[in-house]
Amino acid sequence: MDPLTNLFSGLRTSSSAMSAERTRIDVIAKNLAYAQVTHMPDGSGPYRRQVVRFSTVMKRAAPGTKPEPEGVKVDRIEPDQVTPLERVYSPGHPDADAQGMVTYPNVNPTSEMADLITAVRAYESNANAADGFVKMAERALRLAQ
Amino acid sequence: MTSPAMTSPIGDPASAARAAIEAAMRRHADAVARVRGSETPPGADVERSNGFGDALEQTLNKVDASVRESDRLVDDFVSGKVNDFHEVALRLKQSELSFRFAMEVRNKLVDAYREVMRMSV
Repeated sequence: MDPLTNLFSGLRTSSSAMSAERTRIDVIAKNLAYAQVTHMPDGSGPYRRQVVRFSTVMKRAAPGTKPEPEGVKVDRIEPDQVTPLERVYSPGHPDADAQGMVTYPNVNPTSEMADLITAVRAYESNANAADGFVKMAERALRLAQ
Repeated sequence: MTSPAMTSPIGDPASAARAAIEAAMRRHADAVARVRGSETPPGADVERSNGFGDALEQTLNKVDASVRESDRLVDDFVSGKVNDFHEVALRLKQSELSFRFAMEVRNKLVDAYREVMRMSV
């Protein structure tokens, strides 16, 4: 393995987590944007909120050693099939059924906002970790000067 | 630091820098001892400096590769192939740090060389 890769593994772990949180923010933004979409172009009905699942990236280990996790990745982005879709009485709506009910996406803007704040804070804390890594390396460099 | 990095002095820039500084100091001490008429075998010194030269060259190659990679990353970024700002920023920082460690090793080497040359024989 490349020795430089080994030295900066902490930085790469933070970087991967930041990338994952960025994907999560993308998904939350999509959920918020599509919160009122009752008709998907493929005819599958209203939009379903999507959730991201994080997983770890395994480090390529030397032969005979156990691989260790090194970083985070977005494992998959799946539609939430559990949270029920919202039903609203709105007879004039083009997507209203025979009873005048319209099925809206299962997006709850409040919980999406809470998720958004969590994602932003997680991104920040990983950025702080990366910053700390850089500061430590710079401090170590000063020892040699 | 893990044990594999300890066995090879060129394990990473930090330990390479340490090894380089130690080697430079050793050479310095050897030179002083030789001038003072101590019994330092000349062969050992030559071999040690060969190993050190190799180690330095390898580390410099790695630092060079890292700097090149960051150049490539900036190219990718401006041409839209990379979509994460922090990825570019952190890689740039990484190559900057590697480069500065390498520069520090070089400074120590030049210092040691000057120290030896300044000596009146």
